[in-house]
Amino acid sequence: MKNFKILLGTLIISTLLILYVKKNRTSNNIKKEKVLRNVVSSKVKTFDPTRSNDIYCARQIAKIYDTLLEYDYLERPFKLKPSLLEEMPEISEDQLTYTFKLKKGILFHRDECFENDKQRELQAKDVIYTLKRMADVKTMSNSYGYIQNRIKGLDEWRRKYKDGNADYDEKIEGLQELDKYSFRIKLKSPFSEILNIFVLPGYSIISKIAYQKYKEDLAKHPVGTGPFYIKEFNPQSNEIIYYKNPDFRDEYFPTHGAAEYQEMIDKYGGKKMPFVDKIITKIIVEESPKWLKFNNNEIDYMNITCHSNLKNILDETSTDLKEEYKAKGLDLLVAIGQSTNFFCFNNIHPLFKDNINLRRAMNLAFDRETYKNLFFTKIDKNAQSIIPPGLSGYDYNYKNEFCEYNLKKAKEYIIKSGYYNKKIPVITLETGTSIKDRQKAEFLKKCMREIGIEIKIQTNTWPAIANKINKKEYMMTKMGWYADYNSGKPFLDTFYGHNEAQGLNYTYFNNEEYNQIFEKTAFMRNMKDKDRAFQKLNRIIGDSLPVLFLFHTAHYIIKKSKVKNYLYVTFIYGNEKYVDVVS
Amino acid sequence: MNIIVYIIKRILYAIPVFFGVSFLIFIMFNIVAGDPTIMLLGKYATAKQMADLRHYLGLDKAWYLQYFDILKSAFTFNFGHSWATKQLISEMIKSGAKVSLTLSLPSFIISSIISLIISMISAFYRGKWIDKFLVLICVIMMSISALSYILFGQWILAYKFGLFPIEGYEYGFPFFIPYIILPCIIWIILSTGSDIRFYRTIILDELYQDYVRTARAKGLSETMIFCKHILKNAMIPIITNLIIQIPFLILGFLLIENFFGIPGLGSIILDAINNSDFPVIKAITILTASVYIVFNAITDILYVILDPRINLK
Repeated sequence: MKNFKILLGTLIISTLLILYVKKNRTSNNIKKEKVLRNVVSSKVKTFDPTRSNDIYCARQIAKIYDTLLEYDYLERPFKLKPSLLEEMPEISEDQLTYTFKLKKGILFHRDECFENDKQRELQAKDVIYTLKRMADVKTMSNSYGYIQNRIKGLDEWRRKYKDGNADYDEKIEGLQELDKYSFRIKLKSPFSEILNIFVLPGYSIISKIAYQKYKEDLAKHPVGTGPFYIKEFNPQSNEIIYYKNPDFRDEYFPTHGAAEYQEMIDKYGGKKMPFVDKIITKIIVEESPKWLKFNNNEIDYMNITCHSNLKNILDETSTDLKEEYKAKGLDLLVAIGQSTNFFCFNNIHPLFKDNINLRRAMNLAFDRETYKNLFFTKIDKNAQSIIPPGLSGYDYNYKNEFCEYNLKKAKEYIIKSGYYNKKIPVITLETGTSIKDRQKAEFLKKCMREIGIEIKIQTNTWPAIANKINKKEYMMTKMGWYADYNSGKPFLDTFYGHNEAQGLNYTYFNNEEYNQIFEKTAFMRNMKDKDRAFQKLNRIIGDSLPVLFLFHTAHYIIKKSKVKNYLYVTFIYGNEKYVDVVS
Repeated sequence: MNIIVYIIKRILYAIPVFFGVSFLIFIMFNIVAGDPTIMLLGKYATAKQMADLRHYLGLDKAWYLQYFDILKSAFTFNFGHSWATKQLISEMIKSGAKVSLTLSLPSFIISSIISLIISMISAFYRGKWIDKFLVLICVIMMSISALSYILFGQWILAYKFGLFPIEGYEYGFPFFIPYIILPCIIWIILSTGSDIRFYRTIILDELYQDYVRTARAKGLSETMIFCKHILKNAMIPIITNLIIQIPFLILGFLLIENFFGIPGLGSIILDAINNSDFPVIKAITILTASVYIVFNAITDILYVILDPRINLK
């Protein structure tokens, strides 16, 4: 009993001591350094850019690594600019050869894998190595898909070493190292989107030396050229601490940009980045502890995804905070995301194939306003077609008459669809396992019942849905598509009838006119021509209704007013280098 | 039958059970679950790419060879690497189990002690107001969902009163202690309700046995009967219940770990499911099944050792 008391006493005292030490440690640190504290809503699986396959990893990787190109932070419409490159690449007349020149003197983070600073310098061989590694079957890279069948010799090299023992010293025609800082990429056929692809965090440049030392462990021991570095990473951990890279190249806050950002330009333009010394990123999956931590002043900004939290903090316009929150020194950022949500039809299923009237009727019978009130906010934009606002190909004048709720018209189209006085077969909707998925499916069921269509809800895990789509064994499912980069192309990709990728054309839409225009866009260099062609394709999708269009959802970010320069754009990664924290 | 022979026999029984379980796992993940390459390669994957990856992962091998790989991994404890994080799965399990145990072990010990004491009090005063009150509290505790306790604990105790951290975890003793106190309290509240009811029923069952009547006839005091005879006999199912719970301790508590950001095995399982990380799910399923089989065998053996009434034949 005596021993037990001693043990209990020790435990209590040690707990109090730890709490006290921790409290002091934290408050001391905050006084000395500029610390930015943010949160990520999903576990960060890897810091290996080539292997990253979700947006959460991508946003973390972008703090540590750099890409060849990046989007200008403040320019609108979005504009590409060199990041690791000295200048924009030189493109040959036939659009098949791209010559790149790297900036000199860019250093990888200090790490024991390098013997000296000379070895730390970024070179053309690192870029070639990164691209080859992406193509290596063993890497299982998600990013490779963007360049497959594009670069001369790369796919052949991949096939040759499909057992996993790839020879990285073997020369590939499409990837040529010209000198220490220059390299050339040769394409099989023109592909004007390739520069946008070099912005993706998956295309961040890794060090050949670092990979050769750490191999698989590069996932938890990243060595990049970016503005921040980490000391250690554990994929199961709930916190990542980033430190300012003391050797980060001279990069300055933009001195020009859209008029709406003039205040930022006036205050920060020309100042050396990054501004913060440390970033503490908490990994919190559940919404309620995240929200409590934000209110407890442990997080400086966060993306609000919980609908009920949003409803609580937004005023009636849904565009601003309620007064009580403003009084607490909080700001709200609202950004219409470059994404589109929809229920998709299997367009080769006998029920939907060649029956545009049925698809029209279903689009007309869907009460988007009530749906929006239940699951979204007023500001989410009704989708008229597939490309979201702000991207090339989005048509501000296009209004889809079938995306308006009109039951009377929907019933007329049911008659036209050939099901007048005839029972429409039950439609199975493959949906996810979450409560929200189920609720949304129930709403669709309710709407379709109004026009005599019975929906059977089938819940599945995502791999199970993917399998059904792949085998063409589904009728309807719910999907969303995010902009990978600043172009409508990734959205249009999903409707190209001759698509080779399994997961891409999941609606199995196949329209000859669409296919022909789509193929031509690969050759277009002139942005205006391309934009027109994308608009045309977007209209074809809107008119053909291969899906039941829903919304382009908004992103809500709540932040403390002390956080400056933070902007949210779906495809701009690594924006922490622009952010400042003022006292 | 000799006890040693019984133990050998019991272990031999476990072997076909293990093969059966591993075969079920093989069917679940290698046949029913479908093609994982779609998930691994993402939306731009072509059929060629998927075929290459299937070949690389050995998914195009004959089914019996794939099943043999599962058996081999179970016996060697070499489950390969996670598809999502590329970590060594055995290392992930080891580190996750350690974290889970920092939460589950104290919770289990404390809740078991509390449950035993309260159930004994309740049974001793059976039918009286104290028993009724305790039963009522147990029913209330069992009726409230785990999520309510978690949300209440985080909102009131952690956020409003600042008694505990809202969530988080720090590796290493004693740094994890502040982070596990609130989850431990919730775990204890969650498990004591049902445990008290179960143990009380067992004790009450013993109360009406012939040997109790005999003891009373002999003039022994109620306290003596309760402590010396009833408790001794009631301990057998209680110990069984406790031992059976041990394998699950390493798995942690999925919901608690997730809400409190505790990087235990429960949280690893949830991540693996979300990422379709089949090798991790497979490894944890095999491991749990194996540990469960082992502990089941231990329970059976203990039964024989503790209760002389059980006939080995």
